[in-house]
Amino acid sequence: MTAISLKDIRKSYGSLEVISSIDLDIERGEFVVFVGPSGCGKSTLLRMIAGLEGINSGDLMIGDVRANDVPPSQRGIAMVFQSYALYPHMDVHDNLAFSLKIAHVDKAEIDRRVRLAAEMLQLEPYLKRRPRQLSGGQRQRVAIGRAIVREAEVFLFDEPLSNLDAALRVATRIEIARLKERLPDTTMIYVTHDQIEAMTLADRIVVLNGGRIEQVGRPVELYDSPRNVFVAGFIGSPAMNFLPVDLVFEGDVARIERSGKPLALVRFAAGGRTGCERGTLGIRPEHMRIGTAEQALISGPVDLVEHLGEVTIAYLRLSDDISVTVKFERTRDLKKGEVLHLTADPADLHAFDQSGLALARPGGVEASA
Amino acid sequence: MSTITDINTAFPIRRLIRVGLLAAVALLMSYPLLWLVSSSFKPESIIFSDAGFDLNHFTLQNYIEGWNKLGMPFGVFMLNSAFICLLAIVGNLFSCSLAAYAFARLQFPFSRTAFAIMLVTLMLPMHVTILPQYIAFQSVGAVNTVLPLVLPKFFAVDAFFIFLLVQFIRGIPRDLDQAAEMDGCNKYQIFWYIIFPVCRPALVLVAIFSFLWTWNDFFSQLIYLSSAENYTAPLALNLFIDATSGESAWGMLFAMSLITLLPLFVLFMLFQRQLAEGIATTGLKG
Ligand SMILES: Nc1ncnc2c1ncn2[C@@H]1O[C@H](COP(=O)(O)OP(=O)(O)OP(=O)(O)O)[C@@H](O)[C@H]1O
Ligand SMILES: [Mg+2]
Repeated sequence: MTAISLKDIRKSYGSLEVISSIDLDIERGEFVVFVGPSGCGKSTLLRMIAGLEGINSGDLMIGDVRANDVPPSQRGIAMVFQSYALYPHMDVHDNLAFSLKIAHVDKAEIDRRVRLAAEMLQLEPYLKRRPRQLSGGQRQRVAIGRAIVREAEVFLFDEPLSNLDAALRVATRIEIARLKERLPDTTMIYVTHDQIEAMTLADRIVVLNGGRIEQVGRPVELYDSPRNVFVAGFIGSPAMNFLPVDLVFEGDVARIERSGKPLALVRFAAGGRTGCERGTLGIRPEHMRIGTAEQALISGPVDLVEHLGEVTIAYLRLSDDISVTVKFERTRDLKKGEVLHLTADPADLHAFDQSGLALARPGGVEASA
Repeated sequence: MSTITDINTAFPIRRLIRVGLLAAVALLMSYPLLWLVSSSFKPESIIFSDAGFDLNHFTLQNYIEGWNKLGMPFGVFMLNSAFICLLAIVGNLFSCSLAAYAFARLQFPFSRTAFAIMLVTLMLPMHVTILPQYIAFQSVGAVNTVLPLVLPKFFAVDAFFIFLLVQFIRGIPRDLDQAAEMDGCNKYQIFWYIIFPVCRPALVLVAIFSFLWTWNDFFSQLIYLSSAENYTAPLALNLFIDATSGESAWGMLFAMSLITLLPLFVLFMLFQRQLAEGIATTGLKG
């Protein structure tokens, strides 16, 4: 069942269009994450769903109702703010109970729900404290508690973990995942900058850029088959390496040439096109291996090495002034200036045409010539 | 810090001079008040002849006589003042904060212009408005009641307070309003349950200054109140001075003046901390 459906939603501030034609269906109980670079309109889109921001055109359906003009409190939506937005003059209990009090819910019911939420979030010892007497993590939990108490159908989170330190962020992320398990029918929409949050929490990720949807898909889907250069570069860390190449379309297959030299084993589907055009070859840092000079896709001297223990990251400077990042498992002894010859499994390569769209995966990989 | 102490210990003479100078200036500044205090405990006859404080002539006579001198206990005038102050405070707290909320948070046509006009009234001398105002109140028969003194306070006429509160409210994160909106509040509920309580430090300031300015007000009370039983403390004090016969009761005037100052003194003691805090946090995050 569809919980929320956006149909050709648009939003502009004056002449500046910040959300342009968004179409999206979100299923009931789904955990959807919006990611995208700063300023791409994630918060705006979320706030439009919440009702805090007007919608210029298009239809926002919540359940079967067109909700464009329904006031925020009647949309069955609860929101967790990045700043938490706890009421500073009320204690935790009153913060949790406030929405119910405004809705004239009777006292016994308020108590029951507040107690339930407090228990779920381990807030019982703090019920009598003011927000300023709480740590960042506890405040965060109160903010989530406020959403739980309302028993809303839909939870919206706007970068809820961005004010927490790294360790607490991981802990709270896991708590949110648990919360989702406990509330299987609650739809959650979550905005974040953080790739790991997006990859771990999401049923589906929506990648936004410049007010448009670049791609929607399961986390692994976005990682394995990004639809275009933007998504390919945005998902994954360190980011995918891009090399300028020539694409030679031959009807069914596309071959790839680099500086006039064909990359023998790499083939993509050409989709009936013929001719030649400039394109981009994408390789993720973690998909590269050291090979021989003859097999090498990329060869270049090591410019900088980072030892993270778990992985080693090397930055190669190629002759044509392009930098390439390689990620190796564990610690690997690499010297600055040492020339590496790198190859990759053809199945892990991505090719994008001139307009930045991904070419379809090769039907079958040819054996090495 | 340490350099200052060093200088102090290195040049004790210099320090002595500095402290002496400061003490002298402080004494000079507070001399009128000290003179008032000492004179109120002296017999009328020696107030102007004997400048010092002489324990041999100590008397409470001024207080005892002065309290009942004006046909009714001086306390009546104090209560009149207190009543007007109370209404002025309540009026200012609610009307100014509501107006400030509208300016700071709501979008309405010409809100910027309205705000600018409101600020201009800050510079409008009271003497310009007092006459038309008087005529207006006279035509509805409200002269010689407290209405002209308190009614305007319920219509947010104190631009300074509005300005102060607007600045304060602008410092309150908007997320708070929006969280309340999501929680089901309408604009009035957002004001009443969130903005108003969060404004408390600024409101304390408004209350205290409303009290000060009303308690110490003489001019408008003189204009609007005409019968003695409605008189406020400042007007009553004025009765001790008889300009025509030249036989003013100075001792009693000073004694009652001191009594009139007492509430201000107590207020300052009680709210000293909040006052300093209120001024310091105004405009900062609630
Ligand atoms: N009230 C406003 N008036 C004009 N432009 C606005 C307004 N609010 C947001 N914008 C613009 O809309 C765009 C999207 O803003 P939004 O806050 O949704 O970005 P975001 O994706 O949430 O960014 P971030 O990740 O930094 O939070 C930005 O370019 C911003 O400058
Ligand atoms: Mg944002």
